[in-house]
Amino acid sequence: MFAEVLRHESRQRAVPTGVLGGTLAVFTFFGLAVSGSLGSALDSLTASMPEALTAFIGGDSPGGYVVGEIFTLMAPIALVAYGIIAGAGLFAGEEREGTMAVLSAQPVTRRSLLLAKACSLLLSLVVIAGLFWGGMTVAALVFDSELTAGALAAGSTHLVMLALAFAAVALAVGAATGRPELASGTAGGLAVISYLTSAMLPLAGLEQWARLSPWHYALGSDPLRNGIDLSHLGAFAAIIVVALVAGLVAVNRRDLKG
Amino acid sequence: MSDEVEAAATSVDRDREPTPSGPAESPDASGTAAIEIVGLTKQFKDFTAVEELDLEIGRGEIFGFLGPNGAGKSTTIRMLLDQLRPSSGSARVLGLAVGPDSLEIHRRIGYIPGDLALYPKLTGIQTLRYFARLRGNVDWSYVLELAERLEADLGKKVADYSTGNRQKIGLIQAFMHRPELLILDEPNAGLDPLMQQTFHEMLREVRAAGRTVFLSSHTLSEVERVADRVGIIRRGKLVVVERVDELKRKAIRRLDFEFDQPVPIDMFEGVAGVRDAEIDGVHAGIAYEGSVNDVLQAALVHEVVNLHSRDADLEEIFLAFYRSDDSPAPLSPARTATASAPRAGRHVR
Repeated sequence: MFAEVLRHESRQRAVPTGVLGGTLAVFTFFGLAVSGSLGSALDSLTASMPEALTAFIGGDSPGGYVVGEIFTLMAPIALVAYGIIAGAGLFAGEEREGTMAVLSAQPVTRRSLLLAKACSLLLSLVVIAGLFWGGMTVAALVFDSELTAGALAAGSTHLVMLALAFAAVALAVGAATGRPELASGTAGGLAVISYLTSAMLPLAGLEQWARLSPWHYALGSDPLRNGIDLSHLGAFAAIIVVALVAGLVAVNRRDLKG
Repeated sequence: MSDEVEAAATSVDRDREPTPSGPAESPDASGTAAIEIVGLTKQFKDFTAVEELDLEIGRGEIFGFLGPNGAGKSTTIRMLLDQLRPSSGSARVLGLAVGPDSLEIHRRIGYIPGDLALYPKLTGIQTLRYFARLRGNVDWSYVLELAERLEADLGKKVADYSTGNRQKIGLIQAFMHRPELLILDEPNAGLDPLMQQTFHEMLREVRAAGRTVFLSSHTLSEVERVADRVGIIRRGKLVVVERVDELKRKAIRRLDFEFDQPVPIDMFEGVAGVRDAEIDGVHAGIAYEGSVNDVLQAALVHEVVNLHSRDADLEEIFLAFYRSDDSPAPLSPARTATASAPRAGRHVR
């Protein structure tokens, strides 16, 4: 039954997963193509900026400004936004749409449903990040970038874990309340505040406080340059596990809507 | 019924032998009620949706659960399904405790919700396959038989279905594993009269096979043709549980007369059984209970050019119970509240 729910959810999510992953891959490819011709101009521009500001806009990333923009801004925002929207709707969305009434009368527990849906979201994010990684890797080869497939895989892994963390929060709030809007609002608000915290506090010399933000663990260790940071991935794993456990406990205690 | 539907019905009849999860092989198939509810209460903040509900439904019966919209029917059903957690009280379904044993209960029941929603992007057949796989004990040929019998188009996407076709998919998913107990919340929605007839035949076949149907509706006419007993719930309280024939006997019915010339406004005053008379020139609407003879005798003093009989509506049946001197104990507060309601009054438009 777990496998059936997983298969159903994955099928339901196949189109948005493919579209978002494909869009990121194509966008990345053409972004690197453009950056090749503008590279020197952009590098001289970012070189004249203060170090913190350069870091803020991603100008100090391997591969230059465009890669930095893609890895520090566009891809994480796309993945996080997708994760939050999908996570909020995974369980609570079925209640809002009314399909939970029939689904929850089948011989499957609420917790199995929640776990299967969480696994489908994990798969979906991995596929999107995989397509993104593929587009980036091909572009790096074609346009002779300094980026390696391994570095890009490390960066993509951190982004997936970042998106999963916020998705897990959205899923947990949705599972606890049955209200997808509240779930996406809560997780989305946290994502925005923590992004600004992570990006702005270092500019004010408050780097230590930036560690409170999940975004710090996605980008702070500079995975494109230094590879995977297991301690940072562990921080994400902790957030995901805590959120999921909270969701599993809460969903079993309340009335279902729909 | 058409020959085709009849043939399909016969075909399904042949397949009514018990399944592995069916009553015959169930360890507790005999000796326990299909549904036992004791003191079930559901409170939403300061609103009591269901209050101290006690009910027992035997195996092999069709039980109609009647009540107006918002009376607490769906809330009761959703507590039986463990979708809502009771504030107090308990329930057992097929001898199993709701809550701890709900997974097994779900395996052995079929359910269609009152406001059915399905996945709009899936076709009917994809929807049924999904639910069949979740259950794991579904004979797919039986699914196709049900679809043929209900004339359900399985090829379209759910988003493109009419209400009636969507309802057919919901009914098939409820029936397809031959459950020991069917819990059907307003199942007739959108079904045309022929399909309603087929659906009622399917319910009778379920009963004949020793399985049970819990049929919720706000319309008496929807359940009176098939139900053995009905329970009436009003404002969260079970007003009465009664056999259908007894309920009908107590019901207030209506006759609309058209006379060839204006009639006196007091012509039904004092006529036995008349609860209300609305007289407007040549038209008279009479609400009565008991025998119709006295009403007809009073009317036929004048030339009647047309006569129309209307079904009693549920609210009037409630009122009949409130007024009845032999009403069961739960009626007491309501009877007090309606004691001032006009009895054999006269209303002139």
